[in-house]
Amino acid sequence: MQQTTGNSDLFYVAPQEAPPARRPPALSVGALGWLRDNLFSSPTNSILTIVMAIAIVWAGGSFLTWAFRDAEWSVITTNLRLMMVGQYNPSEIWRVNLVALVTLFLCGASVALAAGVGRPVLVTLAVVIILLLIIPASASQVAPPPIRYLVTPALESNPMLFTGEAGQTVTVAVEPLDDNAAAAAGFSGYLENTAGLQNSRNAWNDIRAQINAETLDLSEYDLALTVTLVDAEGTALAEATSTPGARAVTFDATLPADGWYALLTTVPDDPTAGAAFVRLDGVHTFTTDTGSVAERVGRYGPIPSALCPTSGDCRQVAERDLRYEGARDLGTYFATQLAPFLEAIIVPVLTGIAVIIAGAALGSFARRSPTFRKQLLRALMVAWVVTLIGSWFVLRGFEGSDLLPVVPTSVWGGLLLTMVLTIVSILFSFPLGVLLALGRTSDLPILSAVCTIFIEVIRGVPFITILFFAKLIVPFFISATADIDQAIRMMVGMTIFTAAYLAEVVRGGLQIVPKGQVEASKALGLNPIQQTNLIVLPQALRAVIPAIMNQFVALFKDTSLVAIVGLFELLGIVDFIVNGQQQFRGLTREAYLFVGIIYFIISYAMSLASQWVERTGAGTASR
Amino acid sequence: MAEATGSNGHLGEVIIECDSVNKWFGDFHVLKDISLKVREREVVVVIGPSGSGKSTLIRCINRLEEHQEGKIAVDGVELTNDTKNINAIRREVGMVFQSFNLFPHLSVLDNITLAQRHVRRRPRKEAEEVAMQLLDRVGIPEQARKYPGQLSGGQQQRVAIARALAMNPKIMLFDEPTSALDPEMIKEVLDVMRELAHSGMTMMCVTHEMGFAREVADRVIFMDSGRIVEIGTPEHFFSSPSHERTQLFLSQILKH
Repeated sequence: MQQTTGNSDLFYVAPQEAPPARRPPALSVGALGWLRDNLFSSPTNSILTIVMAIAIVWAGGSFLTWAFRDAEWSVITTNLRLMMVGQYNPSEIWRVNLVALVTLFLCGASVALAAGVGRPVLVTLAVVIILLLIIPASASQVAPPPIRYLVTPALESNPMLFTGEAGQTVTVAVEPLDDNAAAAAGFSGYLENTAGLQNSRNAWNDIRAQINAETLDLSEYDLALTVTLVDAEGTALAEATSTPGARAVTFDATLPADGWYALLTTVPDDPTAGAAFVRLDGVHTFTTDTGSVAERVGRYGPIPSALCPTSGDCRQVAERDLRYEGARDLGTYFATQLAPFLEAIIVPVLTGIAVIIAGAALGSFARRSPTFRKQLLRALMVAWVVTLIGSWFVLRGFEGSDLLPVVPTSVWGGLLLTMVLTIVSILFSFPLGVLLALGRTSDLPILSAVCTIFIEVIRGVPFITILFFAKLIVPFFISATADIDQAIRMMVGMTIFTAAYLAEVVRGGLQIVPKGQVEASKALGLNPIQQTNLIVLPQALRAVIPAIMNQFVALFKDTSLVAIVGLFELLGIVDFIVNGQQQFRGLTREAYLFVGIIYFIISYAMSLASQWVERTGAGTASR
Repeated sequence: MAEATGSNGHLGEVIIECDSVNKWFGDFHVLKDISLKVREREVVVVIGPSGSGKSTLIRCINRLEEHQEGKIAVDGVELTNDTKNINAIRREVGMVFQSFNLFPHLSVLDNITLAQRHVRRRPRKEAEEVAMQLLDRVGIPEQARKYPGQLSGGQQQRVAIARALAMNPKIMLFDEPTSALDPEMIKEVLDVMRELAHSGMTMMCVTHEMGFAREVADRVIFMDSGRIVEIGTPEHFFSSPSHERTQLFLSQILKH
C-alpha cells in the first residue's frame, strides 16, 4: 500500500450511494449456528454440554420411571378436598367455590382489559380442555386392573362392595398362594388396604419377601373358602367354593342390572387354616370424596343396608381402601392413576376456565372502545374491593345466620387457607411497608427513628418467633379477653414481618430516584405529598417490582409456618394426610410432589405477573 | 402568549430582588453579598466559571436552595420558611434544568399536564389543550404520546421548557439548559429560548453560550467565587469588560 501511492491513504471519499445491507453469513444463524455458538463453542463448553445432558437424562429418566410406573397417585385424588379447603364444612363448600369463581372472573376480565388475550393463552386453555376430556374417556376403554384382597380366618371378612352396570362381566378367582408363588413376583393390580385391614398389606409384603427369598412355607397358605357374589338385596348370583383338593377356583358372572353388588367370603372356623387371595376382575375403582359418592348414589342408589348395616363394616372397591401394587404400563397408568384424578377435577377446572373465559371476553370486548374501557376499569376496581372484603365475610359467615353460618377459621385449611393468608398479608403489608419506608427516609427524626427501630427489630427476629409473638400478643392489643381467630393472629404476624422487609426494599427504590426528580416537582409547585405520590413512589416502586414480588413469593411459601398454631394450610394438611391416616402411609413422595407442583404453579404465576408489570405500562422506556 | 415587545425596551417593574444574600454549604461560603434586581420582561444571563455560585443563585430564587442571610423577594413576596409563600412563588417561577429532569414514568403529554392538573387544578381536557399548544410552540407536537426516554436530548429539553411554561410562570429560570446536549441539538433549544425572550418573558439564564448571551441578554452578570464581579449590557460586557477577572475569563473562553 505504502509503495503505490501515499495520497490514497490520506484521502478517501465514500460513493454517494451507501452499500445495501446484507444478511449475516449462514454459519452464524439457524439451528446449527445456534448449537455451535451456544452448546459447542469450546472444548470446555462441549464437555459441559454432554455431562449436563447425561445428568438430565439420568435424573429425568429415574423420576419419570417412578412417576409413571411406581407412584401411587390415588392419595391425591382421594384427598383432593382436604388439600383444597381442609376441614371446611363440606355442606358450605359452595361459598369457597363462589369466592373462587368471582375472583377468577375478575382476574380474567382484569388481565384481558389490561393486556388483551394472546393466542398462547387460548391455545393453552384449549389443550387443557381437550386433555381433560380425552384422557378420562380413553382411559375408560382400558380394562380395569385386578383387585386382590387377602382372606384369613383371623382377619375380618366383611363384604367387599362395588358398583356395576347391567351386562358387565365380573370374574372372581380364589388364589391360594401355593399356586401363585411363582407368579407373585410379577404381581400387579390393586391390593386392599383399608385402615382396619392394614394387616393384609403388611402380610402380603411379608409373604412376597418370603417368596422372593424362597423361604415361604407354602403349606401354611392353603385356605379353602367360599366366595359368593350377591346383589343389593343380598340375593346370591354366583358362588364358588375352593377345597383342599381344588384350591384355585374361578367363576364369571354377568351383572343383571345397574346397582351395588358385593362379594362375600365364607371361611372355615379353624384359625390355623392359612390364607388365600381373592381376585376380582372387571370392576372399576372409585374415589370416596363427597362429590363422587353423591354422584354414585344418584346413579346406583344408596349403599344397601342389607350388605352394609353400618358404614364401618364395609369395604369398598374405592381408592381410599386400595393400593396399586407392582409395575404398570402406560395404558394402565392412565386408566388407574391419571384418569380418576382428571375425573375428580374436571368439573371444577372446566367451570373455572369457563368463568375466566367469560371474564376475558368481557375485558377484550371493553378494550376496543375507550369509553367502555374506562367504565369497566372503574367497575373492576369497585368489584375487586368488594370481592376482597366480601370474600372474608362470605367464607367466615355470620353468627346466627342461616344462609351463611359461621365456619371458624380453625377448620379452614389446604390451598384455601394458604391463599387467604397470602392475599390478606400482601394487601396489608404492601401499604404498611411503603409507609414504613417513607417514614424511615423522612426528615422528621422521631418518625424516622420509630420506623427504623420497628424495621430493624422485625428483621432481626426469625419469622417463626414473630408468629409466636403474634399468637400470644395480638389479643392484648385488641382485648385481653377477646378470642381472636388464630388465623387473624397469623395474618398480623405475617403482615408486619413482610412489611418490614418490604420497607427496606422500597427504601432501596426511593434511593435510586434521582434528586432532580424531586427538584423538578418542587419547581412545578407540587406539594410534598404530591411529590411522593405522583413522582417519587411510581418510579421507586417500579424499580423494585422484582424484589417486591420476591418478598410476596416468599410470604406465600412461608404461610406453611402457621402449622405452629395448629392450622393446616396446604403443606400442613399433607403432613396430616400422609402421617395421620394409616392407609396413606408411605405415600409421602406423591403427596409432597403434588403440593410442590401447586406451590410452583402459583409462585411462577406471581413471577410472570411481575415480569409483565415490569415490561408494560407507563415509563417502561428508561430515562 | 404575549406579543413581542422587543427585549431591549419596555422593561417593567422590579420582579426579582436580591439584597445582600449570603449562603453557605457547611463551612463553604457559596454566595457572598449578592445584590441584584431583575425587572419584568428582562433577560439576564449569568456566566462564570464552574463553582462560582451561579446555579446556586438561581436555585435560591425558587427556594430549591435556602439562603441564610439577606433577603430575596420575588414578585413582591419575600422568600421565607413559610410554605405558603414558597408554593406561591414556585407557581410563578418556571425552571429548566441542565439534566432536563423530565418524569420518565409519564408520557410527554402527562409531564406537561401533571402540574397544571394538580397545582393549577385545571381539568384534564383544558390542561391537554394547553400542553398541545406549547408542544406546538417548541416544535414537537408529534411527540406528545411518547415517553421522555424515547426522545433526543434536545427534544427532552424542549419538553422541559413546555412543562415549565404550562404553569404560566411570570419568570423562567434556566440552569445551564444546553450543557448536557450534543452540539447539533443545542441550537434547537436556544431557538426556543430566543423565541421565549422575544415574547417578553422575564428570564434568568445560567449558560455558557456566549453567542446567545450576546444576542438575547439585556444584561450579563459575571460571577466568580460566590460574588458578582460585573454586571453590564452585552455590548459593554463582551467588548470592554471593566474587571480584570472578567477580562481573564473572556480571554480564556474566546481563545479556544
